[in-house]
Amino acid sequence: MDTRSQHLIFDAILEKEITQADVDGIKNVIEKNLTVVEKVEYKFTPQGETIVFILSESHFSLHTYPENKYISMDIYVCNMETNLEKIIDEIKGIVSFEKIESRILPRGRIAQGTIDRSVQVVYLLTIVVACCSILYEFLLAQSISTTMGNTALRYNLTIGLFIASMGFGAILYKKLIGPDHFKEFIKVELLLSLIGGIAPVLVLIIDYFFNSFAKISNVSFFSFWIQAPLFSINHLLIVAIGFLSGLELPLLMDMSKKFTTTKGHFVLAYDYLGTLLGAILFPIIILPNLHLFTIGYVVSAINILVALFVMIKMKINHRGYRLAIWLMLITWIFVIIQSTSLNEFIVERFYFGGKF
Amino acid sequence: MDKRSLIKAELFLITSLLAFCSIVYELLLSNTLAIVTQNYIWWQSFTIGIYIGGLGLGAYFSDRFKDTYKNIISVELLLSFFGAICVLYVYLFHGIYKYIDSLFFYTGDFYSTFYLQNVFLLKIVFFIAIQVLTLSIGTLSGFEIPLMMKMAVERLGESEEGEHYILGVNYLGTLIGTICFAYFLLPKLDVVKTSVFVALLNLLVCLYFLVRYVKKNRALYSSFTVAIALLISVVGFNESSITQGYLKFFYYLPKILAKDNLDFTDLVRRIEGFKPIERTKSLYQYVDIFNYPMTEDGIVKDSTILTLDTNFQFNTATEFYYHQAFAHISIALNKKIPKRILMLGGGDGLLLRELLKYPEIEFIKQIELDQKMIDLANSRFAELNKHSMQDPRVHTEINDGFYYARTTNEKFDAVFIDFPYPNSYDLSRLYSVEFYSYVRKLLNPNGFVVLDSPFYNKVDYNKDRYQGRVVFTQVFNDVQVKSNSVVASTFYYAGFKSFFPYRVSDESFIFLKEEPGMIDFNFMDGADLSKLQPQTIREMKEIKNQQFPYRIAFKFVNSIFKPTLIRKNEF
Repeated sequence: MDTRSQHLIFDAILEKEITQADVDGIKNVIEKNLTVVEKVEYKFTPQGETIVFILSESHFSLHTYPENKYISMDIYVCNMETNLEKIIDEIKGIVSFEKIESRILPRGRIAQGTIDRSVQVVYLLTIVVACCSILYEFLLAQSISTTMGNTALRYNLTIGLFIASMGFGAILYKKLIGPDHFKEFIKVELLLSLIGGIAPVLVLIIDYFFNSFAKISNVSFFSFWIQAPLFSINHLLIVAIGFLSGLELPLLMDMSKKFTTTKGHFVLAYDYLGTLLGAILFPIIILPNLHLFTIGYVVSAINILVALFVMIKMKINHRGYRLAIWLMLITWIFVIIQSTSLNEFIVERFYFGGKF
Repeated sequence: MDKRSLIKAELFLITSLLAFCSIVYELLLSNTLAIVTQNYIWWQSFTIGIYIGGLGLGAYFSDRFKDTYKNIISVELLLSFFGAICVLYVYLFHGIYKYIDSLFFYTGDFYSTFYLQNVFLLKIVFFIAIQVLTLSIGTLSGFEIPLMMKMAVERLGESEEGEHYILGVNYLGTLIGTICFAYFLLPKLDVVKTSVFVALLNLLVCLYFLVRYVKKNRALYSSFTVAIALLISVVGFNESSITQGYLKFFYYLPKILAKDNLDFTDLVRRIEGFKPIERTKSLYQYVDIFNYPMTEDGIVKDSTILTLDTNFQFNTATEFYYHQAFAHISIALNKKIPKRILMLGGGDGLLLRELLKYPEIEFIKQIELDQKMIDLANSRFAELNKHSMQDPRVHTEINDGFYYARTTNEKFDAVFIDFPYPNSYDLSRLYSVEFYSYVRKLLNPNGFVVLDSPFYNKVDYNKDRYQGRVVFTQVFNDVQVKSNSVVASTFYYAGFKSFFPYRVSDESFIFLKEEPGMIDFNFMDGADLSKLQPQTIREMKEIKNQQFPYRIAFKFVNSIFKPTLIRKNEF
């Protein structure tokens, strides 16, 4: 949790005598701007008053010394967003002061170390998931070009569609994503892992079915009625992954806001860094060394590991998610171990149509 | 329409236009680089990666801007400047790169300039020079989204909707840009005209902002706009001389260097002296045809070269070596003349010409992808291929060879495969274990397959053949053993048990049969050599002494699902 807080220390001399209206005015301003949970008020004899509010933001206290026309006020808020200057201005509008001594102390910095690390973890996650997303897209581009041909066009189209559907994800983010960002993030990762991991295999299976259909119905495979749905279904997979990746980025931005007040720009920058990493590693190192499908399984497993990490780190207790994560992780590990024979089977069955 | 929705429409239109321009610049760079360097994989992915990295950098620093309209005008002015020059910039630096590279490794041979690009430091310098431009365009484009968002907030008020829609519309413009580029701009306008068109579009947006929103410093911005407009029109009107200048330099470099005078001042005049390159863009590739006089035994012979995507295909003066070796040696190795032949590729009709010399051949099915090649074979190269495409035995079909092999039920006695070398993942499909498994299925018993493929033997393949200027000795190394192993293992795992490579005149061929058996090295003894020219016979005598080191292993197999073929040490 972000422990950084602001502590306002406010000493002032009033122009006139302290009246009940002054005290009520200050109390109203506090009640209007902050969330009061509990109130304690005590009047001393012969004069003087102490008021303490417990706020959901922390606490507020006011001591009056009518004999000196002096008030002493503290506001402690455990966030960096509340504008304490604005509260002071509002109080100044109600009570006229002769002299003010006030300052805002930063608090909670001592526990700051862990916060910074948490933000860094979010940045690291951003790099990893951005890299995963672009890898899914490249895998799909490559897989579709094995069935539909024309690699250069495939890559251009994939990048365009990926960026566009990321845009749709970003637009619909507010409508689709609930308030618990960590849970929603796990959900998105689970979906990405599932779709991304099987998409390259799916492309082959789809191609196989359209080929068989063309043969059975005696329609040319190159006719519009075969090519149009084939094209749509294949590219729908790209859109799905782009869309989910589009949800991921604002989610990560919101997650980072839990730990820091810096804007989402940094998350965006790390996201681009992850994309850059994936774009360079894929053609030069990853593709020539691993089977296309195996890359998909491994990237999916990495996505699941990210989800698992967030679940453990944020102590999220949700039976469904826990079950899904462990189930998928075990499945992917099993699939990766068996990948050689599995890939061979898929290619023989669906690419060669079982002819060999 | 009320005022608010008008403002929205204006903002969205501008945002999508800007996104359109930016992605087209990126695609222009990556596609031009892929063509000039002949290495799609490295350049396309690096360019996309660095462009996206630039977008990130732009987003990161975007909050430093204060005056939205002034900033967007400056950004757009710079972008349209970079956009207008991006293709020129690549041409210029690649020209310099090739020039310096050739000075180091000059052999004076047209072919060898394509093989010997090996100076690592030079590559790094070229890479940095180019990617500085990509990064600049990416960073400037990265400023656009936050600036447009800021403009939306300034004009529509603090509504989250405006921001998200700007992002969405921007992404939409990107999509339209990619589709337009792939289907319309590149095939119809080619790179230089596209860059001019898009830079102009960008400048128009700039002008709109200038006229509508900027009151101060108008003169300064206007003069920049006019200067860039001038630059764009200069590029636009000189489009053909820019493309021709680069292409001539690229193709005639060995000839330029072959002259004793290496004076730069003379360079432009000498380039102008060459005949223009005929460049056409088919649906699939650039087809370049150019005149290339060859000197042989002191006599200058006229010859024409054809390249696809700048990859050498044939030279009219020397093609007979290649096509005779392709057709006749394979048939001699088989010891039996096939009746039914499938030919994949070879749309130039030159291999057909050699095959048609056998009256025993009854039927040739030819599958060619590019209609443009067939048209050329029937017009420009009709004399050279002796009208082979018109022969009643030849049946030509426009189709994808891979798809044909995958779907046909026809059977053949021999399959001749004449594809371009595997310089991209797309072409590497045609050298994959999957493709050859399909091809094997097409063979009648005892049928054979012959193809040309990069395959290295142990001799030094450049033996000071050209005027003795610089001697370059090709050392046989691990990379070549590995390259050989990839080719050999792929055929082995595709089910071909007989494998016989041979090399004639710097061209390597591979003869394949499903049935195991030894190749008879004395195949020439009984062969009919009457169809061959004396040079070819001379070269054929060398075949039995050739050694091709390779190993067979599953890890070398080139599959479309795990491409191993294009791991050349080039860049």
